[in-house]
Parts: sequence; structure tokens; C-alpha cells
Amino acid sequence: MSMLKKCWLLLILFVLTGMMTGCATGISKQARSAVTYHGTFTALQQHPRDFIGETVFFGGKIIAAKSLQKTTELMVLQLALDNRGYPQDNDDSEGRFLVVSDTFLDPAIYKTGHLVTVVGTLISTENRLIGERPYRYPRIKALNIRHWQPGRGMGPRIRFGFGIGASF
Amino acid sequence: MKSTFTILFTALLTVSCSVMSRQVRQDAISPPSLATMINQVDQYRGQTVILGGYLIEIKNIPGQTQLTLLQAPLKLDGKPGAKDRSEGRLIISTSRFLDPEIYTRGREITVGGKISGSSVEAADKPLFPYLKLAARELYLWPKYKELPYRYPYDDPFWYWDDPWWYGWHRPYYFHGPVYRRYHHRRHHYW
Repeated sequence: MSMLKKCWLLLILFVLTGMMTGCATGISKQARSAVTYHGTFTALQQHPRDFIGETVFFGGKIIAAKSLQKTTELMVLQLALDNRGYPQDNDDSEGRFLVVSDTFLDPAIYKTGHLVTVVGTLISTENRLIGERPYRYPRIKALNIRHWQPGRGMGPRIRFGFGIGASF
Repeated sequence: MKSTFTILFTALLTVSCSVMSRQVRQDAISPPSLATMINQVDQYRGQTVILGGYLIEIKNIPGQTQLTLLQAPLKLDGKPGAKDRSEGRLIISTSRFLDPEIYTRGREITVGGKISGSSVEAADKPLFPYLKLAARELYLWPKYKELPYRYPYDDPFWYWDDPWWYGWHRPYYFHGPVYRRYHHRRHHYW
């Protein structure tokens, strides 16, 4: 293979990789197209039986990650998502849910306080206590999980600035 | 003269707690000091007051949430101010479920509620003076603000956390989200 051809191949490879990472910044289109539930989280949390088997698209802040024998469970504080599927970390939460994943999600990566977006199927609910108060958690079997690096995924912020700086 | 004063005072009061609904603001009495309300609770029981403070503890019990706040005098915008001027604690109960993951320690809360009791009535000697309120309205102050644009004269170190500058001045692990700047700034007046 000539040198030139090799260069071309490399270039194409780079471009392809670039495109792939470009798509990987959010939840994939394919996963998103599987979503069948478009209502609010509150409605689902209050009447979970009506929605068992639906594919949902939720996100939020990790409260706890727990590795079980074959699965990993994330407890997530639901937060509103922006149009790219990025959770808005304000106080605008409608509740909590559990994510169950067959693949191992390392608690060292899926840390408390990090943001995640999940496409998954509502499989059941589980009653647990928050303090002394019982709370019904919707359990969602993950099809696709997006873990957001803290401080990343905020999208471009347009800023204007001026100033005098000195670096040493 | 007296009426002018009353109008002015009412206007001030209205401005001071704009995070509460008009209804609560109208029902609220202009509160005497917290110590007075605690000590003379029989006189004030059932009255609506607007108070605030910093969250110390949240307790979720079936059908109820109980918040304990360190009371602090409210600033003009209705936000709790200096902790040093606290006169006690507020124990607030509400039937709403409040998630302890959101209502975390230290959060600023303004509450409009009815006085239902105080530490004076406690059976055993209370550890600290407190006023009990049944919440009518709760306002949780946002944790941070996104500052869209900051002028250099706001803060002499404004460029410290600015992405425009930190690319050169700070190592990459300082590239925090926007709210870092706000926390950083807050130390100026704490």
C-alpha cells in the first residue's frame, strides 16, 4: 500500500472516529426512538401500574449506586431534562426512581451527585423508606445509560469577556 | 402622618417577602423578635408569620415532613441573613413530601406559616429555644445562580473561574461547572 493511500485511510478513520464521538455526546437517536412514554414523571410515579412495560426517558442525580450480584442498581433523584437530555441540576425534582442495569456500573464512576440520563423499561415498583416515610420507587431496566462527567455536557456557553491578565 | 407611615411600612413589608404569595403576605403579622414569639406563644398562636433560616435537619415521617431551621433574620429580599443574629430554631411541619436529597443541610428557606407552639411548652427542658410552625408556604432559595455576565468591577478576581482565562491560569481539574464561581464568591460576604 502506498504511503498516500495509508494517509487517506488514516484521515478517513479520524473523521469517522470524530463523527462517532460527536454522536456519543448524548443519548443515541436509536435509543431515543424506542421511547414510548412521553408523560410526566409524577404521573408515572403515582400510577405506575398503567405504565409497566413502557420505555421511558428520564434523568437525574445519582443518590446511591449499589453493585448487586448480577446487576447494578442506581438510585436517582429525578430532574428535568433539557432538549439534549442533560439533567438540569436545580431543585426541580418530581421524585426518585431506581435504575437496574445488567452491565456492571462501577460505583467509582457512577458516583453520588453525578448526573445520568437513562432510556429504559419500567418493570416494577419497589417500596422503600425515606426516613420513616414509605416511598414508591419506579424500577427501570436500563437500555441505555449516559453518565455525564461533572462540569461537562453543559454545552457551549457563550461568554464575552475582557480583562488584563498575567500568567507566570 | 400616621397613615402615611402605615402605608410606607406595609409597602416595605410587601417588598420584603416577595417570595411568598400575596395571600400569605396579607395574613402575616409584622413579627416581633423570635424570642418574644417563643416566650409569649399563647398570644401569637395561630398567627401567620414569615420567617426564615438555614436548614439543620429534615425528618420524613408518614404523611408529614419536619424541618428544623436555624432561624436568621430576613434580609430585604426575604432571604435569610446573618446566622450570628439567630435567636433560636424553627421547627416546621408540612404534609408535603420534601426530599432530603434536595432539602440538604445548610439550604436557605423562607417560610410562611402559622405559629403552633414553642419550646416554652416543652415537657422537659428544651436544648434550644424554638418556635413551631405549620407551614403554609415554603420557599427554598436556589443553590446557585447562573451568572450570565459579570463585570470586572464586581469582583477583583472575576477572571479566576472564567473559562476565558482559566484555560491559561488554572490546571484542567479546576474546570468546574458555572456554580463554582458563585460559591467562590459567596465567601466574600459570609
